[in-house]
Amino acid sequence: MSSNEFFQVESHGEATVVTVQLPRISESEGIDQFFATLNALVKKGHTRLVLDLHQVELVSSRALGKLVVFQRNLAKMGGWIRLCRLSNYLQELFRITQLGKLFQVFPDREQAIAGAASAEADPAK
Amino acid sequence: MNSVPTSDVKPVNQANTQSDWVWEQRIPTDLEIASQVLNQILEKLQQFQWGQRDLFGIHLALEEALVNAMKHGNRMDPNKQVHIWCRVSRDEFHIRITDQGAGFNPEDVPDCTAPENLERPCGRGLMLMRNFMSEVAYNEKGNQVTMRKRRSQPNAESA
Repeated sequence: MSSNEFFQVESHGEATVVTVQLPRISESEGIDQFFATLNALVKKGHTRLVLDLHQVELVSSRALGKLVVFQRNLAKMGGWIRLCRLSNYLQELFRITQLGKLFQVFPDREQAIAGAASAEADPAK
Repeated sequence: MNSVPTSDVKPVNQANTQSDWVWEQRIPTDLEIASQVLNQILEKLQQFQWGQRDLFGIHLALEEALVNAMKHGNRMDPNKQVHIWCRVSRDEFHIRITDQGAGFNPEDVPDCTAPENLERPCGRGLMLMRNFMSEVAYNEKGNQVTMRKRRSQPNAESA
């Protein structure tokens, strides 16, 4: 499992929890590291991902767009992505963009991981 | 990627009135320099004691506008520049960003919240700018965006 100063990666059963420690995921900062890490995890077979975003202050529109594509590709491989611990501002971002309809968003890690236990019934799959 | 010392990103007109901070500069098409400019403006807003929610909205809108100017406008051509004029006061943030691209028609950008567009990877930036700023306007050519944000009332900040 490859943790570094920007990401903490842990296994919880069939889910891989990625705590993102980047303050911004945007074109001017962080977007390349973020998706390089996610793609590296998928290459290693970690296709059921919980992203803990509590340290992330801002996600740009392009990062959101890339996350949509990433999730779609993951679903084609039988995987999924779940988001948890979004700040109030990020929750607002998902509400405004209506992306809460595409992504599964959980208030905490435990619920996101527990949801992972019933992945077969996952609508995102 | 080009790198300029932070000291090169300085206000050319520190204060045209007692309370306003005015900054104007041409910067090269370089996302790292855009990030420096963004941080400098956010720092100034914090000095004027703008609230966290307003800072979040301005941060997001400014990020979108600067990246749009460099990526879509100047197509990351390092020989092209982005002109920025900005004014910050206690009650209002005002910025004008001009690129050297061909421009675009904002009306051509589809509604990214429509169900048929929800899974499209692009088109959200302009909507976010409009959502978080008080005013967003483009010039006729479509290569200059002007944005204003009026400071939220304290009760709106906590909402």
